[in-house]
Order: sequence, then C-alpha cells, then structure tokens
Amino acid sequence: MPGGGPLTREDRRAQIDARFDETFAVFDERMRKEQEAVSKERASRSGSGTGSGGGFEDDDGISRDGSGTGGEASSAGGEGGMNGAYDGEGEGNDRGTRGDGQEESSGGGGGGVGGGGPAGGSGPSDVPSDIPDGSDDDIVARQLREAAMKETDPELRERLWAEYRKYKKATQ
Amino acid sequence: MKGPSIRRAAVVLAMAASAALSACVVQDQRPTERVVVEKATTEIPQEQLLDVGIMLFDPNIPDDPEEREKQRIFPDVREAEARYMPVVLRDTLEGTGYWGQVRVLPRNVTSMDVYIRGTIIKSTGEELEFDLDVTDVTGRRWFSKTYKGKADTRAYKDIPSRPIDPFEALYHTVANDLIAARRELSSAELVQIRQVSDMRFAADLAPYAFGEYLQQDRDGRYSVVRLPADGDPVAQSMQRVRERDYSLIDTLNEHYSSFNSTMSEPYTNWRKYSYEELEAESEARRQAMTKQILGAVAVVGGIVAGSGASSSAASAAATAAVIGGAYAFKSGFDQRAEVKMHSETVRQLGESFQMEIQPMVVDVEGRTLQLKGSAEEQYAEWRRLLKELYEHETGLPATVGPAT
Repeated sequence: MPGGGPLTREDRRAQIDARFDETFAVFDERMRKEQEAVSKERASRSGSGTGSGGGFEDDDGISRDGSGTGGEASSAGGEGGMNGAYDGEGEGNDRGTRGDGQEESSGGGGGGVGGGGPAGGSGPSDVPSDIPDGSDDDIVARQLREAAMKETDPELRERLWAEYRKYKKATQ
Repeated sequence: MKGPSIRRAAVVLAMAASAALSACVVQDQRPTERVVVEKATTEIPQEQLLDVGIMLFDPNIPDDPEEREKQRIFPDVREAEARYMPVVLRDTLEGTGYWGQVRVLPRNVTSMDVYIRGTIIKSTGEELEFDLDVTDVTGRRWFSKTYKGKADTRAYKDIPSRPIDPFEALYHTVANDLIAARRELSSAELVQIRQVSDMRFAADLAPYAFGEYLQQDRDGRYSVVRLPADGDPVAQSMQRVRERDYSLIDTLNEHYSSFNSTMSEPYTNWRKYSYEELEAESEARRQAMTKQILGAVAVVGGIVAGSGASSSAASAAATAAVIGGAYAFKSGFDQRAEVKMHSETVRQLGESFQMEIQPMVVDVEGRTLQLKGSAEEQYAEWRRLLKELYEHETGLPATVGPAT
C-alpha cells in the first residue's frame, strides 16, 4: 500500500480484496488440513486388512463385487473433490465439488472393533475344545463368548456356545 | 348343560389354533424384491442440476425410558442411525446422475436447492421405517411420504467387505421418487430453483445488497425478481464465499463418510444378529402360542370325549388326550421361556452395540461442531467484509430495505 495521503478508490478496493484473499487462504488451509486428517484416519483404518465376500449379482446396475482390499484408494475421491472446490474460484457456475469419497474399502480387517478379548475369571477348561481362540472375534462374537464363559447354568452355557458357533460360521 | 359349553369352548380354541397355525405359514418375501434405481441416460444441463441437502435424520427417541424399552430403541444407536442413513441415501442419490452435489447437512444449514428431512420411525435388523419430507429452496413441497421395508436377508448372508445395506430397496425407492418429482418440474422451474438458492444464500449473508433480488408470495414461496449485473463486485465476492460454504459442507461430509465406514461393519453385524434373534423370538412365540392352544384343545376334547365314553378303551383314549394336551400346554409354557431368552439377547445385543457406537457418535458430533464453530468466525468476518465492499462500491449505507 502506498504510504501517506488518503487512499484512492482503487487502493481501498484492493485492500478489501486482499483481506478477502487472506481469510479465504486461512479457511482453505483449515479445510485442507481437516480433509487430510480424515483421509489419513480412513486410510489407517482400511489399511490394516483385506476383505472379500460374495456380494450381490449386479442386476440393479450398481457394481458390487463384494470384495475390497484394505488401504486401497481410500478416501482419494474426497481429497480430489475438495481441491476442486478450493480451485474453483471465480467460476460463475461452480457450486463446488465434493469428492464422493465412497470408494473407501471398509476393509474386512479394520473397524477398530477388536480389543478386549475374553473376560477374565474363567479358565480355559470352560471353553469347549472346538471353540477358536477368539482373536478375530467381532463385537457380537465377543459378547457371546463372554456371556458363555460367565454362564453358570450348563444348559444355557451350551446354548450360548452353540449361538457363538453359529455366528462365527455365518461371519467366516 | 355342561357338555355343549365345553364343546363350544373346544370349537373356539380349535379356531384359535387354526389361526395360529396359519400364522406360522405366512412368510415375508426375503430376499425382498429388488428395486432398480433409475439412472440418467443423458447428461443433464449444468443449470438444471439441483444440489440436494439431506438433513441429519430426526432420531425420534421417546423421552420415556419405558417407551424406549417397549419400542426397543437404544438412544445412542438411534443417534448413530440418524447420521448413518442420510449418508446411505446421499450415496444412492449420487449414483443416479440426476443431481448436482448431494450432501448431508447438520441441522439448520441452508443454501442447497432441494432439502430432504427424515424422521426414523422404526429401525431394527428386520424392518426399517422412516418419514421423508422433501421441499425445495423456493418453499415448494415435493412430497412427504413414509417408507417402510423388510430387510433383504442377502445382505446378512456373506457380510461382504463392503457391506450392502439390507434396506437398499427402500433407498432406491426414495431415489426413484425424487427423480419422478423432479421430472414434474419444467426446465425453467429447475433453473429458477437454482437462482433462488443463489440469492437466498446471498441475501442471508448480505441482505442490504441482495434482499431486493428476491420476493416472497403470500404462501411463503420465493422467486427471483432480478439478478445481479455481470461483474458486480459484491456478487463476485459472494460467489467466492459460497464456494467456501460448499467446501465446509464437503468437509463435514467427509467426516460423515468416515463415520459411516467405521460404523458400517459392526452395524451390519448387529443388524444381522438382532435380525436372527428377532426372527427366532417371533417363531418361538408362534410355536408357544400354537402348543398352548392345541394343548388346551386336546384337554378340552379329552374331557368332552371322556364324559361320553361308553367303553374303557374310549375312556383311556380320552384320558391320554387330556394328558397329552396338558403336556403340550406345558411345553408351550417352556417355549415362552425361549421367547424370553431371545428377547433378552436382543436387548443385550442392543446395549452392547450401543456401548460401542456411542463414542463414535460423540466423536463425529464433536468434530462437526468444532468445524462449524470455527467456520462461524470466518463467516462473521466475511459478512463484515461484504458490507464494507458494498458500502465502498455503492457509496450507500448497508441497511436492509430500499435506500433513500
């Protein structure tokens, strides 16, 4: 800005524009960082495992192969979309673009569900020999396992183990 | 006249048993019929592509804990679903090619062309029901409708790596209804909707500059009276602000997408398993009722037969019928215990999943609130700058209403 003297009309306008630019830059940077953080989180979640499944036949025109590989192309769509929104200044018709971000694999092994493990207090003798170690149990299986291990009524306990077997078989 | 009244009772019970038995053979069609979602076959002109905002659904959680228990509503699960379902709908709509940007919006956000507001009525692994109210930014109501559907059990069979929503048919129906509603509008009306949303956004931020461009009729419907001149500096700056508004909503949507992808697998498992338990509960209930009714019929029948038995063989048969009936009746009671066990399992599954999902809901809610909070500071600054720019460009004070 020129020093001294009153600001001209153009100077004043340039000053306002510069302040707009400044605030836009701060905002864009904030959004970029936020996007980056979400992308990283999603990548780390989906990157830890692979999954596959039968899926549906494609008679509705939407591709569903029912398979995915953890970490692959995770959230890339989201990032691209956001950049489009940032770069779109001055385009009269540009209403921004959101990356669809739907190509993320939900990753068979991801999900942050794990942890916990069998509840303490029950010895291995309570667990039938055909029951796996439970290291890959999801939340439902874990709950069933814990309930079975805690159950004192032998009949009910066996039914809970039966439910556990059934569930594990269905989710293998 | 004891005999006829007992016989009448036996007939009534037999009819009830028959009804109960016929209930056993009624089956829903599962997998459910596939609904093919319509897709655009030609490119839609840019100026007719409407942006769709899907508000987070109303979780519709009763205040009364007893009512929640009765309806088997787990509040944190419902809160999660209120975020999850709009994202599923968003993804479905995006796949049709009929719309511009489709975004999930936190409550009280405006500036889109079409708004979808949903209320969850019922959501279990078996059944989903929600109300939708669709309007556009001009104030036109597109439709209000209740959607209800049974789970497609194929979604529960393989638990594929990318879970498929068991109520996909419902979302496809919504997508097709929206396309049908859009088709009823003329090209000019579609263009006008976009213009109104541009102006409403602008008038919201700078009413002194853009308020006059809009008018509202007696029914509250908005229309655009005129448009800013090409090269209008305030309009140009407004456009840049609007791009940031989209950017903010995009970022919020990334959070919602992330939330969905995290929730998807345990949610599908929960729905699958609770579906099985609900089915088992329902089957056990039907069996219990049938056994009890048939048992009662046998007992009453045995008594009736015994009262008129002329031989010792007939009398023995009648006694056997009474004993057999009593056994069946007791067996029905035992089955009631199984019903209770399934009900308890459903409750435990819900509570367990609720505990797992609750921190995820808190996390996504916290992040979106934080993001909105910090953006609001920026908006305040942009409002101020727009005002300054307007006053500089026009030489008029920035006041709402016609300047004199």
